[in-house]
Amino acid sequence: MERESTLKQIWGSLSQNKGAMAGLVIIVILAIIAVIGDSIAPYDPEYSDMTACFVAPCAEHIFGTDQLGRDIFSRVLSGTRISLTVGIIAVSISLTIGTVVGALAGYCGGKVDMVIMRIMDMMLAVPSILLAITFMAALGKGIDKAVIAIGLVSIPEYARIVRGSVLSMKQNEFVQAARVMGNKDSVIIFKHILPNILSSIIVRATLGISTAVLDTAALGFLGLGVQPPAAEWGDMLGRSRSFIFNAPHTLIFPGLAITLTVLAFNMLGDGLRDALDPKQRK
Amino acid sequence: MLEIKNLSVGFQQKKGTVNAVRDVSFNVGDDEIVAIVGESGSGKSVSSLAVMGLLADNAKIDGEILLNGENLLLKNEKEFQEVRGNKISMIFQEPMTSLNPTMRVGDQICEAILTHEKISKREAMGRAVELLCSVGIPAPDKRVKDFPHQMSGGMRQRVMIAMALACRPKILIADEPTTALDVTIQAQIMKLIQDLHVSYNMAVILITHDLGVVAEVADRVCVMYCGQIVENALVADLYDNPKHPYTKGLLESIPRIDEDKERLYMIDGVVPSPQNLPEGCAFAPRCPDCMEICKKSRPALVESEGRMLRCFLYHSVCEGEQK
Repeated sequence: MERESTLKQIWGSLSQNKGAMAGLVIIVILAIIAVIGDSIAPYDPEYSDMTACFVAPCAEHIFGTDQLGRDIFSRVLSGTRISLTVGIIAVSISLTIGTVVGALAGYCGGKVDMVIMRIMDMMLAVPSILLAITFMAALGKGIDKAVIAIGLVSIPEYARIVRGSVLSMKQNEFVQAARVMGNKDSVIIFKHILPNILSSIIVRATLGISTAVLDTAALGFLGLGVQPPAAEWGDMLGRSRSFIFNAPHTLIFPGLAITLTVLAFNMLGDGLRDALDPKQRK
Repeated sequence: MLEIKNLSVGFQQKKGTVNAVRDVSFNVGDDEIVAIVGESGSGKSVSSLAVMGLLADNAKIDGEILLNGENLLLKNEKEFQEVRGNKISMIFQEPMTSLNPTMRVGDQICEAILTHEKISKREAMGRAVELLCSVGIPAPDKRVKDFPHQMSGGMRQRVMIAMALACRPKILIADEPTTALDVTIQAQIMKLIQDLHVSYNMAVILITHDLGVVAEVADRVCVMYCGQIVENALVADLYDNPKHPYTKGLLESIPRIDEDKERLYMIDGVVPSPQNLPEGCAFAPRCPDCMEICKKSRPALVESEGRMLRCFLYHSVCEGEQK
């Protein structure tokens, strides 16, 4: 009963936030497209018509065609599934591991903190794309491996944010009060500290989705991520880079799709942050 | 019930060890309110945190803390969690930050109960409502669903007390429970602690620097200076006839409404730094009755007329030397 009313309150506050609702609607639409995208696409996204390269947007091809004469609209639709899953899964990996590791480091302090954060520093010292390539060398090719590699690479960012927040939250007397009540450390971390630092984690995670999509593109560009001719937004963006002046539509539409996704997650995350904070709730 | 024997706490730092508490011994009886009084840095809070086992890792603790004959200092972290909240509980100075802002107060009290007792969530919630009622919160069945920010400072302190009482502890440590509250609320909270002390039949260790509060509620007072107990006496004795020069100074410096004074009395000098304590009695440099021996050696805590004193003035060997 208690729980339900809390959820209801969160939803009530979220539904009043127009930006968050817009974001949610866009995400729902994107999710639907991800599921049925292939079947509503007007053309086969992988069919190449070399007689119709670089067709500007027109009635037949509303987003135009690319350098190989493939319909961009169909490719954007079909790419939704890969890009969306890549973004969400990669962020989930780095978020989960980063939060746990960062919280441990911040809460335990001392040697645990020292060891964890030095490993994180080592990961940060190597350029992330290079590190991702190293991981892929170990894991092998393919989009699923690319997602794991990208997820692993951004762990330090989350770990650092969480550690910092935990360190400052730990100073609060309610954490000591929780210890006085005889709570276990795990209860204190997950029930008392993490809910209080959720806002900074959520904001970082929504931004992280865009980075993950772009990183996948970079790996795809090097031939490590999604394999041609499969459609993926970042990959489409990367491959048509050289036609930016003579056929800008080849970049604009996949670019717009990424922007829209990131924007939607950001707006939802922003609203979620306010809704989860009892003080902001009405 | 609680016996503290020769407790010393030192904090290891780069420049060496800082001794925050030196050789502190006192007892707390079953239904006593014992006040620990002293200036900032005199070791009051450190002693209480040592009893709760909540000192930082760099603390070095010596001595014994016996709860019903069991030495708490020999317990490991897991065994200590059983004691905390269950047998000994604590409330803090700052009610504004001692409740979790993201949890409903009812849930926080329930959590305190469920940590130590195996009962259903529903029963725990019922107990939480009763507890809020017993600490004097109006409409407790509605208030359990409030978040801390929806309450005033005084109410939060009441919730904090309710949480501390959740498992009917034998001892409640109150670390300056009224310092952050305004005067009218202070009186209410002190009255509440006194009432609960009787109805819950528990001992209270009251840490404070407010001698007015002490006079009203405490049975016995330990006066601390520089990490040591300098006087331990019954409240009436201490106020009627303070013996240690430091206690005299403290009582002297309370402004009185029936006296007309230009300046308030104050003890000369400053508290010495714990890294750099004087060779003799820690209070010697500020003491109006300082003798030669006070500068050379440190007095022991001795019994004198039903109280404990740490001062050469009351040592039988030095009686002839008194000014």
